[in-house]
Amino acid sequence: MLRRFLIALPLLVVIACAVTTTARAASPAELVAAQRQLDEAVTKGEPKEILRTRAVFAAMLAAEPDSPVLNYWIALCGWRALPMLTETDKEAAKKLCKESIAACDRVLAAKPKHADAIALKAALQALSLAFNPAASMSLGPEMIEAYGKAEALEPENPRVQLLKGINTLHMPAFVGGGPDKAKPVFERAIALADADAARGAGPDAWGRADAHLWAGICASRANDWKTAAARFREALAIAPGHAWLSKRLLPDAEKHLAEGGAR
Amino acid sequence: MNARTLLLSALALACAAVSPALAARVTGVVVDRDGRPVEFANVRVPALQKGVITDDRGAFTIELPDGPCVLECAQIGYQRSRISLVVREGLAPLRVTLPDEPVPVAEVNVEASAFGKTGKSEGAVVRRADVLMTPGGAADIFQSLRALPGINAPAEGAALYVRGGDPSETVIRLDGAEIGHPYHYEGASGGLFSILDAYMLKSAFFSSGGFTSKYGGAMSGVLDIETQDPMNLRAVNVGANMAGYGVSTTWALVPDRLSLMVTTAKSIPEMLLRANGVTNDYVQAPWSENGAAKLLWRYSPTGRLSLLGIGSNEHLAVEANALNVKELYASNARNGFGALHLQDAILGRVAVRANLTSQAWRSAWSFAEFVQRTDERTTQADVDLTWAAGPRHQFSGGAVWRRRASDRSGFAAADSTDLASGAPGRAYGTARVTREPGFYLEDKLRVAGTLYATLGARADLADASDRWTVDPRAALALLVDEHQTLRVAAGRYHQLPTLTLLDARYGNPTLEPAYADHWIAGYEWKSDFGNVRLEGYEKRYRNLPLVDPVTWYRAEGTGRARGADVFVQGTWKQVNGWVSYGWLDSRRRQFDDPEEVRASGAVKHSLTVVGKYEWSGRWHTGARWTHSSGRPWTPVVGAVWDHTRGVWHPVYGAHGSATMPAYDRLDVRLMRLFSLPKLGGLRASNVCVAYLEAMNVLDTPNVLEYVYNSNYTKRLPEYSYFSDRMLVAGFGLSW
Repeated sequence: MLRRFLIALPLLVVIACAVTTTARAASPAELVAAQRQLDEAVTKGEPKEILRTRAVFAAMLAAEPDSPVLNYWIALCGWRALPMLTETDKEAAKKLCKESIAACDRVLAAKPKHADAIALKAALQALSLAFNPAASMSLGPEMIEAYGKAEALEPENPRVQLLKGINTLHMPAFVGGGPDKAKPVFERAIALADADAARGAGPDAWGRADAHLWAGICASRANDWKTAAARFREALAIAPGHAWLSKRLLPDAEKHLAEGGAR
Repeated sequence: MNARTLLLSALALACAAVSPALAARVTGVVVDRDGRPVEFANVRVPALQKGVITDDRGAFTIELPDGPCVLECAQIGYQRSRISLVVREGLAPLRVTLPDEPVPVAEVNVEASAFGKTGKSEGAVVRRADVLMTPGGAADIFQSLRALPGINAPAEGAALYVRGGDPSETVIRLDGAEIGHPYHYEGASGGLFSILDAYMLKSAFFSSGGFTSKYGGAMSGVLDIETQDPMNLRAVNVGANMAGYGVSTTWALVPDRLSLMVTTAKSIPEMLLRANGVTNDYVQAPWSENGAAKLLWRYSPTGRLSLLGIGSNEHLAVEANALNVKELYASNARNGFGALHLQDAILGRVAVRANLTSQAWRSAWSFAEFVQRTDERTTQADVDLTWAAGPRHQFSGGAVWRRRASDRSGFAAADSTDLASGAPGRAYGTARVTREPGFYLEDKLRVAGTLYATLGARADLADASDRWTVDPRAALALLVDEHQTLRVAAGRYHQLPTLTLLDARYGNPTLEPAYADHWIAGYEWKSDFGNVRLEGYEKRYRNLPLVDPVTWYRAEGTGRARGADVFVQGTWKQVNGWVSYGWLDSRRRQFDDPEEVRASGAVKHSLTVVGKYEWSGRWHTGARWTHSSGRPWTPVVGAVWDHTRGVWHPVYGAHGSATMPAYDRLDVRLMRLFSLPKLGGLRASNVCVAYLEAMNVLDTPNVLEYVYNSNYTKRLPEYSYFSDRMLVAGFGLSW
């Protein structure tokens, strides 16, 4: 009897541990729900909703404190909310930026070759320049280096191209930035994102609407309002009801088009 | 019981362990200090790996098994809060208050008089960009620092005269290791420019007093420079201007693992002088060169090992006039510095930095029949540990062991007032070796609320006198609100005597170290648009070396320095700049001073105004105006005819009894940023720069020193190096 019990004891422990872990880790369904929640929050253009979603991901961390996936999405929520939050509460934005970069660092500590996290960290560093413009001289080359590294790791990753394109667009022309230089990068991001979508990529493959949206912004910066409006419409078709697109970007582009036509 | 029954029992037990028989619904609200709900806070029970978030009203509900547990609440901007509770059915709703997150100790700049990279309360930050973009700074770290308060530069040299102290009273560190003689042409105003290429610079911490126990061996200031440590960059920079050229590169040999940085620069100002029509007495045009290489190995996510080597070399030959003797003055110097640097984190909590360094500096000069050769060798090992023990404390400690050796020999005039041909002279030679260990401990802590402190002490062995010196130091910072900080600091600062004073034959081998006591009080206001700093200070010197007829030197000199620094920095749209003003009253009795007299580097008023304007992303312009009241000097008041030698001997007036004319200089810089397109096999460039700098635009003839006619009845000014207006054009290309 005792012998049988001793044989069964390790089995019991293994089963108990396995069941415990499975039961308490964030389920794929919960993760997908949170990713969709973030999509909706971005579509609404509500920083508060984005922060709420960030908290949902953070709550899931209770079960998997070192999860690279969760930390990545926490950082992504930060990147989504930061531009809006910076306008209303700079101090809170500064703290969120710092936390988001720290979340990227946690991803990279676990997976140093996580191309998405490398590019996202560079994008967050770019946003951090709003609080510390003097750091641009040291962060600038570091960011370019990071995008190069992410691209080398995953040349077919549309999100790396998207973030690289945004960075290129915001860089001054005399350092190799501007709409002309960013345009092909966004076009590549669109092609890759569309191909991903055609293959049926899940909600974790974010960025398709963003690629079209930023390609539109890029065109508008080059005063190519026709392309801009077309890109914005494509983006709206992917993310129907997108507040920024429908209330600001597309009407602006159409207004410019109309004015151009009138002249 | 058979095996099947046993397995079923085990499964049942396992399920029971996972799904508690009794689960209670715990509810509550998370609020801030003022009772306002904290939305989207995380509420979790780490032991059970369960977590939920609060809603818009700060409310939460979490299902927990009956029994004791620890609930943790966290949100960005608030202190994490933990509460222990016993979960049971019918538990009253919880109310969790999250206090505001205090500024972490590590982020508070407690130190007074400090300009550095770290800290929420940082003011001016000395970064590579500041060095490169400051007009009149010649892209030199030391020249750029002269625009900060606390540096009372008596002339246009790069040497750091900090609050009345001479350059030897400021310790200069590179990645934590002490480096000596980091200047080119030390004979000229203590050094004209740095041997460190600005390309290497990542950031610098500068303190003009009241610094913490970490820094020893300096009575006046600290400059702690961090060099760049890129791991993935592959870039090449080429720069040239009318005074020299340089090439530097950073190359990731194995991305993320192994990286090499190399810089070389050569300065040949002859073209600059000729192009600007500046007459000079150079027999051989001065030239200097310096180079550095750093091999960086990241052996783990937290660990880095680097090997840094720096070398410099310089030559100068000029017709000079000293005490009516016009002869050739020739000098040369060589500097070699090597450092093995390790940094890592022990258990992810304790940061370790260790250095093993070695430096050899040789210099020689000759004038008429007189010569001097100096050979200095320093070997040093040091380790610093920093432990962030939590949000309230950050402990630091470290140890240093240093071996200093100096040999000096030469032939000097027996009578310092007679340098003419055939003057009696004496050969001399001094040599000394010391071994000096030291250590320090300090705690940077949050005392209460927004009051922070740094308390520490260091002990160093003065090898010569075989005595341990103990320096207690303290600094307090009160963060009044997010814009304002009040700081006070006090401490003792010992400095060991230079080795030539400790020579067994021509010095006092048991000479005690000198020391200064600092008291500083300051106020700082900062915002996104600007930064204002006001500081008052007092320093008392003791044990300064005095000339002694029996023992050569005795440590009985005294002195004091008191003053105030004002620093106003601002940014408005495309304009930024700062105004730095320092008032200083410094008196000392050292060497042969009969009483306390105005210190030689004591400039009463120093004013620097720097303005930069960005016309567009491409065009930048800037100006720097420097005004200093005259520095004290000792005039010749008469002369005595020497029949035997047939020369006039000068008779000096009281020490420091005369004042040089005020020093004024306006520099203007125009800069254009650009990039080069992809060309053949060459990739498109990074940011490149072309610039035109006008130095001393107003052509102000600043006096460097005075010389006299043969019988000392007439005084003639010798003007400073940039007393003529000069134009410098240059460029920097980067790929």
